[in-house]
Amino acid sequence: MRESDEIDLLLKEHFASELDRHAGGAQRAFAERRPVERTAPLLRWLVPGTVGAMAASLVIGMVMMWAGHRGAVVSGTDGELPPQAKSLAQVEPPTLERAVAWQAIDEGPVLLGEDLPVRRVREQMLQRVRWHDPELNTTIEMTVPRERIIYVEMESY
Amino acid sequence: MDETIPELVRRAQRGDAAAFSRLIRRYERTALAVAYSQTGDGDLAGEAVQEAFLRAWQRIRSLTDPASFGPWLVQIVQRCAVDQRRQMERRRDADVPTEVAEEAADPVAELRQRELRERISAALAELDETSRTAVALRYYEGLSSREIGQLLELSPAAIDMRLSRARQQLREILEAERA
Repeated sequence: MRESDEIDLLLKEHFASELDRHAGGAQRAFAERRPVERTAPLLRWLVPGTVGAMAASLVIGMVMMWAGHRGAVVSGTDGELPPQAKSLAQVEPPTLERAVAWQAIDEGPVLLGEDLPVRRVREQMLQRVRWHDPELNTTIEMTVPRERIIYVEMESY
Repeated sequence: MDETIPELVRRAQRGDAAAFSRLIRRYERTALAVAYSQTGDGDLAGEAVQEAFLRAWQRIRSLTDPASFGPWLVQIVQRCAVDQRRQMERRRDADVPTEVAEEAADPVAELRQRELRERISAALAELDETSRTAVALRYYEGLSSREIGQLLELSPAAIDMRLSRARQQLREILEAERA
C-alpha cells in the first residue's frame, strides 16, 4: 500500500470512528428541543388585541340580549310594537365602560438553555369591562388579568 | 422531490420545520467535520452540532442570501464548537472526570486503537485551523476541493494546496512518532 493511501485510509477511519456515532443526533435534538416559533412583532399585539375585542363583543352581546329580553317583558303590556323591536327602540342603553391597562417590564438579559442570551420582557395586561343599569341600580364588572413573558433575541457576538 | 438548498432555506425561513429537517440531513456530516476540527473530540463535536442547528433555526430569518446557507452554517458551527471546547476546559479545570472506562472485548486491540486515535488526533492538532477543517471535510464528508472552498470561502486551488501540505505534515508527524 502506498504511503498516501495509508494516510488517506487512516484519516477516513479516524473521522468515521470519532463522528459516525453522532450522525442523526442533530435531527433528534431538533425534534425534541426545537424552540417554539417566535411571533412576529405585529402578531404579538394583534393576538391579545383580537382576544380582548372578542371578549368585549361577548359582554356587549350578553348585555344586549339581556336588555332585549327585559324589554320584551315590558313591551308585552304595550301591544303596539313587536316586543323585540320595542325593547331595542325604547330601552335606554346601559352604561358600558371598557378599560385596558398594560405595562411591559424589561427584566434584562437572561440565558436560554446554556448560552443563548435573550432579553426577558414581562407583559402585564388588565382588561376591565363594567356595565351599569341605572334602572335596577346594578353594576356588573368583569376583570381579566393576563401576564406573559416575551423573549427577545440578542446578538451574542 | 429533489429540492434545492435555497428552496429549503426559503421554506425554513417561513417556519417550515420539515424543510429545516432536510437541511439538517444534508449538512449534518459537514457540520460534524467542522465541529471536530475545532474541538478535536467527537463527543464535543456532536454536542456542538446539535446546538448549532438549534441556533441556525432560530436565526434563519436573518440569512439574506439562501444560497449561502452552507458558509453561514459553518460559522455558527465554529462558534458553537469553540463554546463547547471552552465549557469542557472549564469542566476539566474543576477536576470533573470526563471519561468512563469501558470494558473491551479485546483489551490489547482496544489499547492499540486508542493509541492510534490519540496519535492521529495529536497530529491533526498540529495543523492550522483551516487546513484541519479542510482535511475533516475531505476525509469525513468526502467533499471536493470546490465544495470545501465554497464552505470556507477559499478558492479550490487554495484548498488543494492546504490538503497537500496537511497530508505531508501528517505523514511526517506519524512517521516521527513511529520512529
